[in-house]
Amino acid sequence: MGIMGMLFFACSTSDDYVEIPTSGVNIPSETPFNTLSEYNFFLGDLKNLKPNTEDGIIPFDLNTPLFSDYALKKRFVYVPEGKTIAYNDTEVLNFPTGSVLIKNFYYNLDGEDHIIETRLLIKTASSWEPATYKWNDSQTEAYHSVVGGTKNVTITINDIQQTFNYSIPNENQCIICHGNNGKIEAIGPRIHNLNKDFNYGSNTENQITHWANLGILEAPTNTNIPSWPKFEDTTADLNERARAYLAVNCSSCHSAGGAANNSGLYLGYFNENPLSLGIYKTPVAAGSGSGGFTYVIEPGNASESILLYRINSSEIDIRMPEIGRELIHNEGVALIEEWINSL
Amino acid sequence: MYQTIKKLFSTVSKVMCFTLIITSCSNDDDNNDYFPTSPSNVITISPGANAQNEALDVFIEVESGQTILFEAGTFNFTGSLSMTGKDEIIIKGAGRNQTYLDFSAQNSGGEGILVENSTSIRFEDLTIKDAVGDALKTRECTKVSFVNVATVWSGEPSSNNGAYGLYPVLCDDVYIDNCYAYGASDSGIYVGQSNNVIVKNTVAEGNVGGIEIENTTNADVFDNDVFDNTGGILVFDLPGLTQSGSGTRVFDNNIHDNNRSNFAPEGNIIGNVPAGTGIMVLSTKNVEIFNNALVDNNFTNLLVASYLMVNPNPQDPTFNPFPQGLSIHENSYTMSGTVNPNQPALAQALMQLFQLTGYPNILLDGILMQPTDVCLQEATDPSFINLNAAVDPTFESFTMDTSPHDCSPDPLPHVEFEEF
Repeated sequence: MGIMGMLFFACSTSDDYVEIPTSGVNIPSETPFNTLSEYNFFLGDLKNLKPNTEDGIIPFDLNTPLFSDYALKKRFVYVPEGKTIAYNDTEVLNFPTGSVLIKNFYYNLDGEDHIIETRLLIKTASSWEPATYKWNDSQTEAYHSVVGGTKNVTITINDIQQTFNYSIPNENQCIICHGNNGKIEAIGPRIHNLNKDFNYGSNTENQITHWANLGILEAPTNTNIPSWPKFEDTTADLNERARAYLAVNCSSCHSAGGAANNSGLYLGYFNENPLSLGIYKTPVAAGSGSGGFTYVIEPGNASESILLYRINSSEIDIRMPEIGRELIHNEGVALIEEWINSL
Repeated sequence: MYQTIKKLFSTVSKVMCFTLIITSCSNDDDNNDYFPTSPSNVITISPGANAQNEALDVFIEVESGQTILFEAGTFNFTGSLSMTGKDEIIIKGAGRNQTYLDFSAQNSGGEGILVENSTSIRFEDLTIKDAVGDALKTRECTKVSFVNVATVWSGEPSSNNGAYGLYPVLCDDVYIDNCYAYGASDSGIYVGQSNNVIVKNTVAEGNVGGIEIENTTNADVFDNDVFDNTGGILVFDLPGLTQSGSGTRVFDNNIHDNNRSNFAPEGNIIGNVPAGTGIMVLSTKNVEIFNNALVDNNFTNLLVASYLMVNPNPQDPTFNPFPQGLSIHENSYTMSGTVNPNQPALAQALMQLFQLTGYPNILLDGILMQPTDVCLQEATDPSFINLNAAVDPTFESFTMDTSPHDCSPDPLPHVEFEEF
């Protein structure tokens, strides 16, 4: 790599591979950097993920996150100085060019946080570009990987020790989930899922308010800002919890523009069509994923609904989502079971 | 430019990168040319320990006009190979009996190979083996061709096998020629929700469905050899999907000895197909079936049914469950063997009747808007039963009279497109 690095340096005056200098944070104009540290997202030891807030790296959280094999996540957003995200509470937010979504996946192993990977979505003029960084064992650096890989992990969930191969996605797998009508979209950051309090250290503030005060989000004009419940919040409405959970975990593929659109099963939060939501819907291409059951959702009968069967399996030919999950999300399964039985 | 420069970082092309950077340095006046000429048009992958990572990388980095060549040998994969947003790519082996992409050790992914949102993609001269889910899926592609490609599951066909072999869905201009499908627990060749399709010169054996055309418009299925499946050639329309089907021609096929016990996992629609079905049309519009040899498909050589037979409440107000515009003419029929006693529930219920009447060459459930929606012009006067299930679900009002179906609609047009 040394020689290549020198050549790049030697070439840098004559080619158009130039970094756009920003106030401390570096965003590549072309290909993703080779290492995570080059972005200057974090201050001090990289593994501490201490955000470079002065230069616009903002931590955030979601009400109901995607389940990723019980991985813990730390999320950050960067919006270039002077730019603003337009407010909208129907779709995923549309970020300005040069924005970055940063998502770190880690586990607490033997009492210490161990970061497995950091996924970036970098907003270009036309789309988002995904870039995944694999952390080294000494947790000093993370390296760009196109082909992803697996990492053997042992964790204890609900007092049961589970060993599995955590899957770091390859670049095309990023697109399978993030693709919508052939373009790459963000999934998590929509107003409903961002509308919650966050502890910024010095103060706790609603994230929408915080973003608007920082000027990275257009201030909402309405006072009634919608929010999804936390899926595990049993004081919230069961239907809303289940629909938010399905929206976050399933609907990036199970939507009209998503990778599972051939199934005719659309699990977005706003879908009100019972058939495409799965109610008394017969499967199309389920194969052994049908579990011998007739309907995707048989109201009142979760144990004979294909939807529950598939999220409650870790078998490769049965489980849903097809990628990004090896373990069963017990709490999610319990929620969907309760919901189907309530229908 | 983004894609081009990204290529510099790919693990496969580091050596090439080294050379090209020097070139670009010596041509300061031409900033835009990282690659002075287009890179080699064939990217070769050899069997070996690095093959999986090389293939993963190439499927991501490949550029328009390139061919990915898998050399002769067996390639073992532990995950899916996926490609998205590409244009003009050929994925080629050294021959169907030379190059094997083996997914028996697969531990992630819903299919062996997945191509999405791409244009002009051609698979050629290779075999995909033992995928955990579907073998080769292309979704939302235009101009996708499969030539001399096989999808197989080893050993005796089993419900644990993947659902579909070749699986183009939501595609336009699908060309399948000289392919082979064995062991799929749903259909070996399955074309779904697609437009402009040719399936020819293909062998399908040992599947539940040999060749299935579903919710698809304008498909020609001809010169295929389809045998030892549960059902040979299926033309289906199902509710709740993006489009309904119309305009399938099934002709000049040899459809014989499809008597295999139905081994589809329960809950799948295809699990209702009787063991011993030659051709089956379910709810589809405008289907022309002619000049096929239907031999020893011993439950029935040709079955026309409505989706309402398997599900009386389709829940989809836009779905028309009645077959219409069917023209069946000049096929040959033979039934000489014994019927497989192992049948799905619905077929089981019919066996009592057929033990009295004999198993019919042509079987209609009779759930039709009008009799002339199914036209019969057969020279040989094959045995015929209309169950009249719309009138009497107990099948006691069945009829053997073909005269209400004496009509001959205009032939359907040829399917024509320029394949890639």
